[in-house]
Amino acid sequence: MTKKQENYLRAILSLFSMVFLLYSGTTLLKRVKIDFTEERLYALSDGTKSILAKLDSPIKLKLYYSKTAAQKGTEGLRVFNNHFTYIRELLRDYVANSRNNIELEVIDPRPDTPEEEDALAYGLRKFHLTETETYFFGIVAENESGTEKIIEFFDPAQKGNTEYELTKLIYSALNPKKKIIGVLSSLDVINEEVSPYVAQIMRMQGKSVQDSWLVTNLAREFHEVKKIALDSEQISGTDVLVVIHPKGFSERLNYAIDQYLLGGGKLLVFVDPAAISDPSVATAGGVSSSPDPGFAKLMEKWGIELKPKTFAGDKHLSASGRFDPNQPPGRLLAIMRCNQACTQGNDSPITGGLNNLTMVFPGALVKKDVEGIKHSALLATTDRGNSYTASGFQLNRPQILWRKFSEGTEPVVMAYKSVGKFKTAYPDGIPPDGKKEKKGKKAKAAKAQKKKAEHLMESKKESAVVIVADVDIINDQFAFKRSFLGPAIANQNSTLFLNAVEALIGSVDLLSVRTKGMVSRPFNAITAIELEAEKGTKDKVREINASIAKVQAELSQLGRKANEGNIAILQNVGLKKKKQLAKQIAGLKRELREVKRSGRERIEGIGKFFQLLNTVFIPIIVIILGIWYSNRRKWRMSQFGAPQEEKPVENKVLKSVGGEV
Amino acid sequence: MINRVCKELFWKEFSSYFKTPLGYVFLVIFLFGTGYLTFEPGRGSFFIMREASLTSFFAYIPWMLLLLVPAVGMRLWAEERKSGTIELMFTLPITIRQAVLTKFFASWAFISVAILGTFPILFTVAYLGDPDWGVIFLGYLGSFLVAGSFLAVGCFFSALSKNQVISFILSIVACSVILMAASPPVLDFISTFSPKFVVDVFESLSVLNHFELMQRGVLQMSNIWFFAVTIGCWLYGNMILLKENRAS
Amino acid sequence: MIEVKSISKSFDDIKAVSDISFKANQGEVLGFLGPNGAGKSTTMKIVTGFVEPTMGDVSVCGHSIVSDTLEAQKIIGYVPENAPLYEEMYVVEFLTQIASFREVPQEEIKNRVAEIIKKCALESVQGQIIDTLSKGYKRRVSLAQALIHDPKVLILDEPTDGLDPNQKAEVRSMIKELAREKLVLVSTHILEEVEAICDRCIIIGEGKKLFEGTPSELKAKSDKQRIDDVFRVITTGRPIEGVAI
Repeated sequence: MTKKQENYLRAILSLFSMVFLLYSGTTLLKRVKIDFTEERLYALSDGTKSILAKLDSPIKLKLYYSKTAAQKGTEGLRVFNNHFTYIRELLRDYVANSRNNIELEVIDPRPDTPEEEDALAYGLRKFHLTETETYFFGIVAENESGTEKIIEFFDPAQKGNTEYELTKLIYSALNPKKKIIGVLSSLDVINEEVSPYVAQIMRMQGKSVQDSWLVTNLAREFHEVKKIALDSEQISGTDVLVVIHPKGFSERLNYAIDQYLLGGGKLLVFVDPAAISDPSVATAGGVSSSPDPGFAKLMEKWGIELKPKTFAGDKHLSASGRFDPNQPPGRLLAIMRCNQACTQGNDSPITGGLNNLTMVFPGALVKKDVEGIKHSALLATTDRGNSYTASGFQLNRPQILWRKFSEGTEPVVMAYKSVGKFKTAYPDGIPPDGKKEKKGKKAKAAKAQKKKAEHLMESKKESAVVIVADVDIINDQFAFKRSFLGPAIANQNSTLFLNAVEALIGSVDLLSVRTKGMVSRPFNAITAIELEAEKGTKDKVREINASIAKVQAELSQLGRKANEGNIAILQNVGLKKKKQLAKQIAGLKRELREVKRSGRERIEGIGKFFQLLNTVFIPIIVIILGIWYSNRRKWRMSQFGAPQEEKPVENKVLKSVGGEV
Repeated sequence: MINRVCKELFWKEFSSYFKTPLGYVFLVIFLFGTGYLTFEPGRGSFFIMREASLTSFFAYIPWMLLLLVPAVGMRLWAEERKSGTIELMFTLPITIRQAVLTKFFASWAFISVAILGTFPILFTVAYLGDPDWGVIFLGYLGSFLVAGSFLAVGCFFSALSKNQVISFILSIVACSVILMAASPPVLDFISTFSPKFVVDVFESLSVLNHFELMQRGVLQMSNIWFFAVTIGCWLYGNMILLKENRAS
Repeated sequence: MIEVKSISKSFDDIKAVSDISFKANQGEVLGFLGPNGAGKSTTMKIVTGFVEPTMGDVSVCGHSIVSDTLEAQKIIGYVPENAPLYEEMYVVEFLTQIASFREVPQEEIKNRVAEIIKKCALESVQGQIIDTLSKGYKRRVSLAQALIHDPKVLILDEPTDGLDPNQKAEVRSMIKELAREKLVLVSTHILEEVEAICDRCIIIGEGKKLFEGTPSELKAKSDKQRIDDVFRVITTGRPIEGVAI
């Protein structure tokens, strides 16, 4: 063999060994990883690990991914390929942490094979890529007894949720004993009367059917959710009671809640000074607020008060949007986007780590010291938040609210957790039952039965109440969004709900998994400028209104004088005044536009500045340095130009060249 | 291994980028290009997304490098061979391995300077918001490694042909292949003539997959391994080529 | 000092050099003669260590060019054909650079460069970019870089090719000057150059050594003392009147 052939052989061999090394090495070394993200997105959370550690029966996971089909698709499918790799690696971590209880199988279902049939039988979602190629991307979890749980499709856009979804899947496949959540509400939160199937048919017939709120469906994935009837006189058999928008409850019901809590029951209460999720608002108008005085009496004993017609606001957390389709979008005080600033203050597992909540007209809670009860704030505005009062038509005028609002100096609390021994709000025992009192034997028998259940004056053991001053937060409209796969979780509102429920019933493993997610990293600097510009706008608007009022007052005074005669002159003066006013207002409006424009321009200016900084600045420096360097070299070298130079001089110059090398 | 000649050669090569217009043209195009693309108005633009992360910045880096690194790499050996200075180089007391590695690292250092020249973007995000520095660090590390892999490919093809244009085109083609190896259209093409196993192997060769993973903030050992092996093997090929055809 | 031991080199199927051996010592100017493409350059490249021989070895002051390449190369100064240089550099810069490559001690570099510039009469162009220099100056810069580390062996591949008569004369006198303390290998296809500067000459044709001896021996083979007649007979094999081999 000649040397040349040998070299070619070596080249080919090295090419093959490179491919081999790359393939085997990257496959083997995937497991060793370092997570650089602040949120530790790529490491299993403690909650998952704890759930996995508690596994005591085998679970089989079948990950269906149409890899072959995906490789034939478009560039867009690369995202899915990557997401698949991510999920597969994540699942391998699960297996590694499961003490051999989890078995993972990765299946590539080809069209018209038994695998595809299986996938369809399990209920995984099927997509058609081409006429022949179908696409699956889901997972089946099977437990010992053959129960199957599935995730029908993984959406790469929901990457932050993946671990939670998987842990949930395993958790639900484990089939532990379910806790019971009782839901009590003045709104149609749960609709048990109609099964989904019947609802479907009714909808097809054009009838409107009220579904249960989606948060309750989410809770159903782990727990049993049952509706507590509004005419209940005693509440029992639930691990936690969720009270949503308490208003119009009978005294008996309020009493039952009171006694439930004193008996050691846990309460999660959603109250709201203005619940826009109440369908009656849409039809009849007005404001739907809770608690009513009856329930407020209970809350008073807990040491928490919701100020009526008062709302928590914070310009720095306000969302932008529009109330009225005819108006340009602007910042809305009513819609509050809570970020990490709202939950930073507490280390409760309920809100700790949450950074993306949407609240609508949240109320302001005030605590009052009650002996034996400890309050801790779960949600609050920033330091610059404040509460404001508004009623009636004002609620529909975002500009009015915005102008009315003045920044505060300390956070307004929108959710409290109260723990301790509570006292009854009914020291006199069972309240009389109004009209039912005189009913026949049946009622008497019931009453006699109730008498048996002893009346509690005070909690025997510690209990807990979580109060959130917004009902809309858990409504579908604000907690979910439409996606092509049906309703999807829009933010962490539902997380807050589930966290609160689970923290109260004491299963906290899922909490830490759930709170993991992407931290939003907004441009704080830009937001600050926008708010400052808004402030300027506000001052100008106030000025305009003041001058309008002033001129109007003058006009009416003139009008009064007119009664005394010389109408013609006065009319003239009035016209003049009006003209003057119009001019003045036009001037002020111009100034207002100016203020708005200058704010916008400042932001645009910052954008331009950074664009220039990042595109032109460094290249120019590079060019300048280049010219300088080239000239310096030229100058140095020109020192060598003259051969007549004396030796010492030449040496000196040479020294500098030597130094450069 | 690293002797004085290596050090001197390193500085000579590194400074040569600043002694010819090529280096400046590269720097200006690279820095202007990445900046422009990052801020380019449109969907996904940095300023419009209002997200204090460099996702929209790093998304363009591999493509800028794809275009520009072969331009840096093409001259490394092709020029020396064309002008005959390779005879000077290899009659100096330096081995082929030392020369290849030194030249590679000098050019890599130059490209790294170009990448580091994007530092105003760091001030930008730091001023505007509260970025995740760990993720950004990893993004930069990934950029360096992608540049290194492309450069190693460029070195190889530069040693293959005396003609700089040919070596430029060949290395752009090769770099695009390893950049987009996991792209479904490419895999589809591969699968038309090779078995599934080969397709899987091919998919594992993708630079973009590894880069995207790093840019999202997770560093797997396999990323490091991938880039190290890629760079190592192409440079090894470079050495063999030079040994074989430096004199022709 | 230099011992070439039956070296051969083939590129693909073409034998560029086959089985050439010779010896040379300090103070000698050894000329390589031969038509273009005869293998002169390849032989020289093998001696410098730039090309690996397919077979055979070269010993430079006892260092094998194949197994002890770097040590052998330290002893050699080499002016390649057409004098390739890093053209974007300034003359002084370039020589300083080569000096440091050649491991001249840092503190001596500046003196050495100045010395060599003087020796090669480059003072007037030392501050210029090499690219802008004339051919003659480039040749001198190339010579200067070959001498910067004061090598014992100097190898010049067609050093006068493409120069005007004055420049040729200058280069020749320089070679003679250098030969006093060094071994100089010169390849050329210009016959009068051999007479003018070489102590000994080797004629190569089609990769083989055809003649080795002094220029006067070569000359003596022709009745008319015509060296080019002899050269043609030796390299082409065709007889010419008055030449006996």
